[in-house]
Amino acid sequence: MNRKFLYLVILIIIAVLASYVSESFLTRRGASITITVPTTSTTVYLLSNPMQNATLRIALSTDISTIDIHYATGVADFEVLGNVYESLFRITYNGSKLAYIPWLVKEFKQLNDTAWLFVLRNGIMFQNGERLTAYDVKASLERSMRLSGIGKQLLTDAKGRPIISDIVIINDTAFIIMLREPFTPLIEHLAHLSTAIMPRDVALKYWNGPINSTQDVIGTGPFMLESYEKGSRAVLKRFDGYWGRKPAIQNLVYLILPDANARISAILSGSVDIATGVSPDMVNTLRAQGIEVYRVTGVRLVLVAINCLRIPDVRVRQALNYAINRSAIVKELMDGYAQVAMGIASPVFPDAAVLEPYNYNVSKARELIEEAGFAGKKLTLLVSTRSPKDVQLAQVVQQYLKAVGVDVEIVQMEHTAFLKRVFIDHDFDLAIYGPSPSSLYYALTYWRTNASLNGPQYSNPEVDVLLDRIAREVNESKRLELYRDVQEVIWRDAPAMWLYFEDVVVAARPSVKGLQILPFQKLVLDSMYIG
Amino acid sequence: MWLHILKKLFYVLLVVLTTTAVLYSVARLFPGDPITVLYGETTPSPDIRKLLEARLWLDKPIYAQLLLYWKRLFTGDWGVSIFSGEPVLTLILRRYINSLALALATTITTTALCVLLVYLSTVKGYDKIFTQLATVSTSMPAVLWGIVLMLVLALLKMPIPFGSIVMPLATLTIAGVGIFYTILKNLIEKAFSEPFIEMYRAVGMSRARLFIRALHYAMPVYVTAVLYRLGLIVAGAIATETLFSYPGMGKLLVDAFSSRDYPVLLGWSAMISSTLALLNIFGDLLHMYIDPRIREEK
Amino acid sequence: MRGLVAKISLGIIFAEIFLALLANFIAPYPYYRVDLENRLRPPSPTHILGTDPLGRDVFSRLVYALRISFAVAILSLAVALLIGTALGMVSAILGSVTDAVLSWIFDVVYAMPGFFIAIAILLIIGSGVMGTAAAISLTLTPIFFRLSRSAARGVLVKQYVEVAKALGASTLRIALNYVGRELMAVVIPAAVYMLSDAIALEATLSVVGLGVNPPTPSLGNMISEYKDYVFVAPWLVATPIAIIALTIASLNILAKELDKKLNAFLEAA
Repeated sequence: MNRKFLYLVILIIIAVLASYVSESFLTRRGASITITVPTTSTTVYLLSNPMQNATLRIALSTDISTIDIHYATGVADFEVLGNVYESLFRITYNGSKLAYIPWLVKEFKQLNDTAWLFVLRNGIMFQNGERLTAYDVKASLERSMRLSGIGKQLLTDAKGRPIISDIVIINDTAFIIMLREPFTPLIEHLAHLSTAIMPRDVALKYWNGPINSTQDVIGTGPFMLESYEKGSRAVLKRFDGYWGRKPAIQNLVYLILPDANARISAILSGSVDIATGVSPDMVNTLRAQGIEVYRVTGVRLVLVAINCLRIPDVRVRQALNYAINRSAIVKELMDGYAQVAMGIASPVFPDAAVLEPYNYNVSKARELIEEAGFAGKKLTLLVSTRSPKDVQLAQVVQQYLKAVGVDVEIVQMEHTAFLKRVFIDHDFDLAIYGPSPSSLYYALTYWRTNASLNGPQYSNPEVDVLLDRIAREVNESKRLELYRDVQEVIWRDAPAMWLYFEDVVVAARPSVKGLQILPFQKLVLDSMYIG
Repeated sequence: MWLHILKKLFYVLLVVLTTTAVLYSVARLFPGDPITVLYGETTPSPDIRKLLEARLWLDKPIYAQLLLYWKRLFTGDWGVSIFSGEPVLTLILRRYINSLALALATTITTTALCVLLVYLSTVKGYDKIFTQLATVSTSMPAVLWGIVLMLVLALLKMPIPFGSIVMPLATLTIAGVGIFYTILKNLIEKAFSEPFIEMYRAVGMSRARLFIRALHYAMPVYVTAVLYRLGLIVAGAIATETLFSYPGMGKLLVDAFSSRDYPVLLGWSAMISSTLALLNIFGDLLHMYIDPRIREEK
Repeated sequence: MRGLVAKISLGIIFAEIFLALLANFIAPYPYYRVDLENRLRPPSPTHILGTDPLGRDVFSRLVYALRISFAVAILSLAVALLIGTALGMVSAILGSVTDAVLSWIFDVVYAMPGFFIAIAILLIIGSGVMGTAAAISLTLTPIFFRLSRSAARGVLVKQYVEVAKALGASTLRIALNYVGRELMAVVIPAAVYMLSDAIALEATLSVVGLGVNPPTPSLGNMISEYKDYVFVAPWLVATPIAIIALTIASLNILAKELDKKLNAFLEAA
């Protein structure tokens, strides 16, 4: 009896301790619910930052998958390498819409339908001390189109041909991009970091494969990659020869902490200054402890792809959309930190259409399913184990579909195997993932016939034609109309269950000032300093 | 003698070859390759894919790839990581030293703690408390102990030393002390019931000295268990390393697997299998040394 | 008093088995029933162990988890224990070539990371409970092999074994009598403590696609899912851990009792 008693006592002590721990976090809940709206005014580049020798430590939830910017695919890749590299144009965010502004380019001019003249800024240096020239731009863009999966998607047309026929160099700083056919979203696409500029030597050295030496990670950005230990940390140092506004901080350390508790503990204890990938459930705990939580509408559209070859009946695909209670998912599962999908592109994109929503309607869904003779069918739902939230979402979707008479079996997969199954083999019924496009046109090319990002193998000739017409349409109001049309068509054809746009939630210690966040979950450190 | 050593070395070689072969075949048969990882949701054009395949030896049959990797292992050029470009040998050595340090430190602290606790419990009679504590220690997986430690530090607003050996060491010690305490205590108790201890006791030896005798008796099996765990930590305490972003062999393996970085995987496997095989030989030798009768038998 | 403790321990184990077997009747809610409006609720009369991040009843999930986790853990441990110790003893007794070959095989298995074993099994047997159990038992076998081999080698050179040999006892008898008893001291407690390892392993295997798929609960996947909520709902992860702790404590006490009974029996015989 003695033994058992002792044992129970110990268990109780643990329980008490645990509740005490949670209590001390929860009691101050609501004490300081000041919603921090990030200051995202247009940056004044003349201002210089107070130069600090400080180190900024940032916790990332995933490791970078590559050190080659042209091979970057994940959020973490662009976050880390985005400090080293810059593109000709840059994406900015004013709190409601994205904008694409000239960056390495001083001025540009459309000469005719298919020729664009660009002039580079003067005095831009690479981190190896060499001057940026038009030759570097030519080599970088050509490498991006050749090797980069995203670069290829950005700079090829519907038939898979490169949209750029040639880059003609006029002198060291001026060049003309010759297009095969008119391509209206050119500027937006040159703003993507997958078309970032690297020295010509490096681009040619790695003409046939990824950069595989940190020595050759050379860009024009404000930070240099000093060291990278896979799975552990990436250390960056301020580049003193940076052409633009020099960052206030001296060192930038990215810590890779895949465990959610580790990130929260790290920021609470002051081991890091900023933590990304914060679960909405944690927001109150963090605020109660005096941590600032930033929130920005995201571009990541979380969806359940529906394999269109296996489920060709559009009524079934629409029914699956009607079966989901999106507002409940957003309000409860996401704690309000998401926007119900009202279109296939995030509202932060200029020209993203707000479409007639698929309202939660069980009887309509059932009706459509009966009509299509799909009742009682069994489907498998693939989900990658990389994201615990996706696995939870899968179970919610499963329950909603069960209610309309579709049985779903969830299959978890390791991430790379998942990518192969969905995007290469197309061997699935339903699959959860979330693309994060950088422009509206890019978001729409996902749904082009045979596009590499087109997991569900959706194909509608009308969409392909409309996309081509948008690319060629110079008249802005007409183009806007076409944009609306194509979004409407894809939305109605429902190659996926459109769920929600995930908010970007970032936690920062109060000493971090002037932090800006882009809807791609990218931190902007231009005017950031430690106060 | 030399023949004996040669035989052992041949054995290590055999283990390394088998392990790398099995591990590589398994990794290759699992869906997804480095090109899938490089391109993520996108896909390369067919000619680029061909180019990369030839470069990564993916166009050859698996056994041919394996032979190429084996050849590399013996020439000392272990290739470079597909993703970071770092030479595999330096990468692995760096991680290996980290893991080895963690394993040795954990073994030393665990053993010291266990001997102390067992001494207190068998000689001083604090048995009950420690048995309960041992149960608590083992009822949570190591990663949860790590989270508990982190939580405590977060509450105390003490900085958590990510990337250093301190946190993984504390975590693995706490999580491991229970099982080794129980094993050692059972062995010591067994020893106390053996006739030779009775004899010493009859002679009037003090309890503390008797304990040392018993400890000597318990050592062979205890050492086997401890070395086993040491090997596992050298091979990687995956969850604990990941939690505290400690750059050890475990995290390296997981990352190499999830990015299908075959040169790193092969290097990892060669390094670990040879270490473990050597460790086992070392354990057998130690066994002989501690227990002279086995030596005589041979 | 010792007897009472043992009885309580036995009671706990039986209660757990009972809960696991009758999960369908005991669980107040279906284990998969998502209720988003009632997520992360603390324990209350309607949900005695609270609700999880999807609003599912934790108690209902727990009783089903007991079923799957105990099935996997006990099956895999039993197989690993049996094969590992048997082969360890054989290796120690026969020595020479047998010892070399067995050591070789287990050295290779030992050098294979757990999740590679899992992948290999996944490719051969496929997913499901059997596959999971096979993967876990293969991961755990080398430790039992090594422990029993080492213990047996120690015992086989003891004086009284020499005497028994001289008296004409067969090697097998010696093995069973002396080696077996020695092993009880080490291998059984090791096995009991491996229980939490086995349960945790099951959850890690889901990363590569082995293990149970959601929404089926297991103690392992409950721990790995709920651990991310220690800051907001610490009772979630405490429950499966308390169950594992209780089980390990009870099994330890029972193992001790069994050891004592066995010793008494052998001495009498």
